[in-house]
Amino acid sequence: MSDFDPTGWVQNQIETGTADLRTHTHSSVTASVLLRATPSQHDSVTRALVKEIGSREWTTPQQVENACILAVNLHHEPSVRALLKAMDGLPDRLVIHSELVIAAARTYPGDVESTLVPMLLRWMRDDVLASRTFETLCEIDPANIDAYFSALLSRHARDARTLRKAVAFVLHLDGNLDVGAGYVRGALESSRDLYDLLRDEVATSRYVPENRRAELLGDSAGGPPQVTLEFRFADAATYALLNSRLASGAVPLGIGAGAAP
Amino acid sequence: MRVVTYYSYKGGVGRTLAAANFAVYLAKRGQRVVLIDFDLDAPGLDCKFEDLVLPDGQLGLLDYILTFQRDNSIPDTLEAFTVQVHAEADAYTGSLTLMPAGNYLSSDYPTDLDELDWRKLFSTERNGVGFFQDLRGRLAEEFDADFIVVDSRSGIGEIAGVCTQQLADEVVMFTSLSRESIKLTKVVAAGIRDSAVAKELGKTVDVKVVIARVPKPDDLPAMKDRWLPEFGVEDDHLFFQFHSHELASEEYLSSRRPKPRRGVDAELHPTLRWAEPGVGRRQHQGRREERVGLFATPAA
Repeated sequence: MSDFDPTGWVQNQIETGTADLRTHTHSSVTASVLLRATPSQHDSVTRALVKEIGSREWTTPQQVENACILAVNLHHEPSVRALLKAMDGLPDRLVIHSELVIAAARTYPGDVESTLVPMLLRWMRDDVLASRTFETLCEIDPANIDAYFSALLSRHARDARTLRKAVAFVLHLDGNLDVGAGYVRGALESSRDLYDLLRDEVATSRYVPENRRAELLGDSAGGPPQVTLEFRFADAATYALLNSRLASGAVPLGIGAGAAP
Repeated sequence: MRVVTYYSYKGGVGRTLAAANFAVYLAKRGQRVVLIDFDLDAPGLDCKFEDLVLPDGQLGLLDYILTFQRDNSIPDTLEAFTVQVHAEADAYTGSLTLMPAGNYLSSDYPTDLDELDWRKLFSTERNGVGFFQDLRGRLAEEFDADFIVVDSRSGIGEIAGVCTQQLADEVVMFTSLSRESIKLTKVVAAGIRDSAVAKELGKTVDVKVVIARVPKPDDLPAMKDRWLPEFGVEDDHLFFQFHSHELASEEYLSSRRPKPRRGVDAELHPTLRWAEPGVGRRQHQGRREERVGLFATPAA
């Protein structure tokens, strides 16, 4: 998250961007108008901002990011939804998207499950900066990190770069190696392909203490996974990761996960 | 093809009988049904069918699972592990295939059951998730099944987890109104709906709750209002199965044409609403349905 200070930033924009305020040239300035506009003007200013974002003619990603955060901070729901919708079609700007999504998740927690998570999962399926999307999912819905990690690995099982970044992220998660290690162990145990792809990352990651590398790599648990049976009516690879997570106890085999007392 | 699992947190609520009744009902309406006895610790689903006698040495689900556990292999066909439940010529317009738990009256069954090792089935050596998904596919293809009806083990252990989260598209959850049943049914229903396993399999399991064997009240809507909050389910996911002295199992599960009866509280099973798309509930509530013996009543 940015350390953005909307009040100071807007004051600065007002003082230095008078000309831009008139022309709506820069998205960030347009957004500052939002802050000053009366509620009746919000929709028209939002449309201008969305148009600028859609045209990709902003000056710097940072300005647009600031604009997005500002819009969220305004608590002007139509603006936020319009911005999200506009950005949904611009996958190459995901870094900016993620800031907006995270800010939106904090402002509208009710949208996380219904809107934001499905949108990010769709981006991840579409290979939109998958590891960054995964990190955004973890940020807005930490209770389901294991499911998102599983989805990422299933989808990008042969994308070594994405896997390395995701593994580095989960190993660094909250500074709690045991949590991340559980996910990584599940991945390593799930298939020979994943084991081969991730082995180097785990062997060299600066997030893995030396005394944990052998454990994660399976040296104390029988080494890499065995060759599994090929099923006629099910793709074994699809279910290998879930199987490994059940095997490790990360997900209970019985009923209980997600149960609210 | 749809998999419907009958489950109860506690036993003795009529879950197995209802599962068998549902399978019979579907078969009598032209559906191809496979009924699985997954209550491996307390098997006996076959006993619900008065004319069915399992042959000596009949194999079943436990044998099928153990083949995979022991050898990491799967038999070519399920034929040896299943038995056809026959009816008089015009009773089943569909078909009913039973996969029993196994030859549970033999002296070998307890030993085999002891050998079942869930930690090995789901391990680096065995892909249990793939195995049970494969079983779904095999049953669907080999028997051209429209429905698979699973009679689950009660409790929250491994069998219940597999039946409700891995196999099921829908769970019909039977409960009494005892204090622990109410409390745990609500918790377990939420657990199944929010199951991480189901999510990773790309589905959300639909959970319906059936309050079983209660007296039919004069004021059904009031009864519904009384119990909806207790079970934490949506308005259209709570059902009642009313107690009736007429519910002798031999009457309701007969493979022969049932005799007409009057005054029996036998109405639609909740899952039948989608069993025959386009056929409204009212059309199901005639005498013919009553004779079949499906007696869970939608909560007003």
